[in-house]
Amino acid sequence: MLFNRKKHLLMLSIAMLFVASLIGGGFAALAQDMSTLVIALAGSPPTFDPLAASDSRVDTPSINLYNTLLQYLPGVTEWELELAESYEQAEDGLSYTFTLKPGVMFHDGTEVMAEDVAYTVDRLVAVNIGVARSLVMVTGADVIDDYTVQINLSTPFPGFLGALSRLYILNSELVMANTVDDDWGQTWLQNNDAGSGPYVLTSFTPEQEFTIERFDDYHKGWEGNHVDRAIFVVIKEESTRRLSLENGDSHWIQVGSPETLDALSENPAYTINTDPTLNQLYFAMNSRHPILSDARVRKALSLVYDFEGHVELARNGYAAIAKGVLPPGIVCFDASTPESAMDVEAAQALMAEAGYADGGFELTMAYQGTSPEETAAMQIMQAGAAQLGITIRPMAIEWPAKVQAYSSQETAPDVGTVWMFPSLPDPDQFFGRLGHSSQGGGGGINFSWYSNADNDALLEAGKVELDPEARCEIYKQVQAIWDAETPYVNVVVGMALSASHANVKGYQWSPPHSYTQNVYQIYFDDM
Amino acid sequence: MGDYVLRRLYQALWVLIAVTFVTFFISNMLPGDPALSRAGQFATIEQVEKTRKLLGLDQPLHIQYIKYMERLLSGDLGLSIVSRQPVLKELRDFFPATLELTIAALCFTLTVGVPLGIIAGSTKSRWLKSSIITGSLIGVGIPVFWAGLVFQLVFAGRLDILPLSGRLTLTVPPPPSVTNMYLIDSILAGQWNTFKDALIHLILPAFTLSLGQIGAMARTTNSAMASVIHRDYVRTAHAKGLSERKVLWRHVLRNALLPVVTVLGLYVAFMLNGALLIEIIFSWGGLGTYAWIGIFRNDITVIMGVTLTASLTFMFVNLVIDLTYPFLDPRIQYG
Repeated sequence: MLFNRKKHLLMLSIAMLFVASLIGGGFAALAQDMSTLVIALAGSPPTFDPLAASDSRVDTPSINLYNTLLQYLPGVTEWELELAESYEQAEDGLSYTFTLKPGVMFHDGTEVMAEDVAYTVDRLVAVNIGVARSLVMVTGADVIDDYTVQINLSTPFPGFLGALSRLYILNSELVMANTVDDDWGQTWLQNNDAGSGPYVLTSFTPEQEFTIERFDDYHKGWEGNHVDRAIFVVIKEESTRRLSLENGDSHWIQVGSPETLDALSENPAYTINTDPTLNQLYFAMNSRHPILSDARVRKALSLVYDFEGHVELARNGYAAIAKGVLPPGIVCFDASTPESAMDVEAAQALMAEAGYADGGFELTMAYQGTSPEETAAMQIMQAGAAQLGITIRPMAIEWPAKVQAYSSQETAPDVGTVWMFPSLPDPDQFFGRLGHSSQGGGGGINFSWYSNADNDALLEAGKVELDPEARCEIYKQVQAIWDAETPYVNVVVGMALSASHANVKGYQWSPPHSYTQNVYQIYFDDM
Repeated sequence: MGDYVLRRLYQALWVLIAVTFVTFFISNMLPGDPALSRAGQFATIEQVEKTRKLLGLDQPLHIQYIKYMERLLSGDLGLSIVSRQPVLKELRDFFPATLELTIAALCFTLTVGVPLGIIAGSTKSRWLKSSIITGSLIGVGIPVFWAGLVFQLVFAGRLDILPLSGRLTLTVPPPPSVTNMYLIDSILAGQWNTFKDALIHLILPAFTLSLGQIGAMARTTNSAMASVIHRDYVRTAHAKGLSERKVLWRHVLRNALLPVVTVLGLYVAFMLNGALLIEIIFSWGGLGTYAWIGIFRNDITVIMGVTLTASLTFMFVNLVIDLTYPFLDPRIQYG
């Protein structure tokens, strides 16, 4: 005999008993714990340093672990004071003085003081990454007294208060005690929290999970319904995330694909969330291209794009056609701006006027090849351009490579997709970054290489104009220039998709904190 | 033997230097900007330039390489450009997870693949033999990501007898970190529930990772046996009246093991490097995930660290395998 049958049967039985003892089943039991919320994310925060909270993966832990001077209200783009009790703006707009609420505690039991705000501001200026992008005009802060601090600006910035919604206030004493080699605590804050928010960081396993637990002394208190603990588990694969919701491993999941959301929406056990974002997709038209330098050709290309087809085919209806350069919710958004629309006849007339009645040329189009939506967008543009006799050559490229390709005119593609993810609902985040001539090349995202002195002058004026009405009037003029010149095609406004168990309540979308999960407001309805 | 080992280690040193050289320059030629990754996707041009200077990325490439090698000689793999954490520390977090997964997959490969190959090579039943060969081909041919998703759907979704993903149940705290391999650390800490939990979390990803190797191992073992089973010494052993089992274990299998052990080294490398898809599907958080993050963020020091670790492991495994040859076949001697 090849094997001793009795001996091997015995060994096999022992092995099976061992395996059976291990796999007792019931792995989907976590969801029944009503004090713990399990959220499945697609990506892990690269750091817990709130200075990097311009990235929504970092903003998620930050908004739960920290407080800001003021914070946006859920569901709208209006804010309320959080750590600040009141504030005063200097007439010239070059400083803001905040009075702090007394008695607000950090997680280590020390009180939030003016010097903590000043330290956070000084750190922002010194380290100059992440959130600093929205606060480049901040020069520093002066402590007036224990509860009063003045933040100084080099130029007036009307979006300043909104930008503070991502300036999370650090416990200066704690961070300084953990500073190594003048790194402003960056290494330590990678895995630790120094905040005063509703939750405390209790565990973190990179690329796997992080856990936050309630901070009993949170200044807003624990009246009402809240969960005691939240576990954020990282599940990159969408089908695994969906399965984790279905078998009860998770209560709330991020959804990337509209198909997944459609499938979950058929089951009443789940709530699906389709939240409008401030993120808008554009096609940049390279205005330095010999043919695209003619605004009529750019305009013609914008008129052959099937916007409705994009929403239906690429997003299963989970997107909205863009209305101008600014998405709804951004300051100065004009609701009367018409939606981008297809008009092939008008496009053909423009091409004839420009001397390209039969097209007959090729354009390269850069898009993110790993994104099904951008791939579909490229195909829709290919089909549209073909109606003008233009051949679109696809150029699949990821974001870092795209920025590099656009960094010089020689390598810049002719047409390219670009998503705007603003960290605050301010028009300068869109117009200024997409269309000011200083942002063309060198890592800037003026991918159209658009340069117009009148446009630049208006953008510079709009950036510092403190009168809201006058400011919106400026951006109205910029919008008119862009309508005529078409440096960009305004394509669609994205929606953030997520799904949860039907008993998960209180989740409210905050447009300025796209893809951020604020646990304090979430609870189970059968708690 | 000692001379041989020293010679191999000397060769390995040059291979490692070549690996660092090629990886460093290729990584720097790839599109993307590490300074932009560090400063943040929407950093201003000035912020990106300031970050570039701070990280020393504004210096000529050869200077950057020389500085990296100087640090490497003192055992410093540098700081991650994005996270500013020592790469060595991060590797200590991520690598053991992949090592644990690979070892478990190797166990599946050996305990399932080799016996299947032996049965296929020795059975007189054509049906059984062709079933094993066909099954092996299917195992080799199935894409691991598809198999992983199906296993999740069946065993975690429908049957709910195995966990869906991760290394531990979320409510089970990890054992105190010694090796960062949860099975070993939980034994060292005497945490048997953690051990049990870590073990069941290993089953699905390890089996999925080993699926192709099980098939390939069965095929290799079967072929190796077929090449020796009709040799004269096997016939002589039969003629001497030895039992079928003794002939098989002492004469056939021992001589057939050499190619099996050789391919084992390659399988280890394949599983170490091929764990990425498995790690993503099962949220494993190992070296593959770390490499993916490094590449995605243009983090050159991370890419260098991962490449060095993978190269070192591959060379170490193959050295160990080479050293086993004299034990398997006394005719092989290293001088």
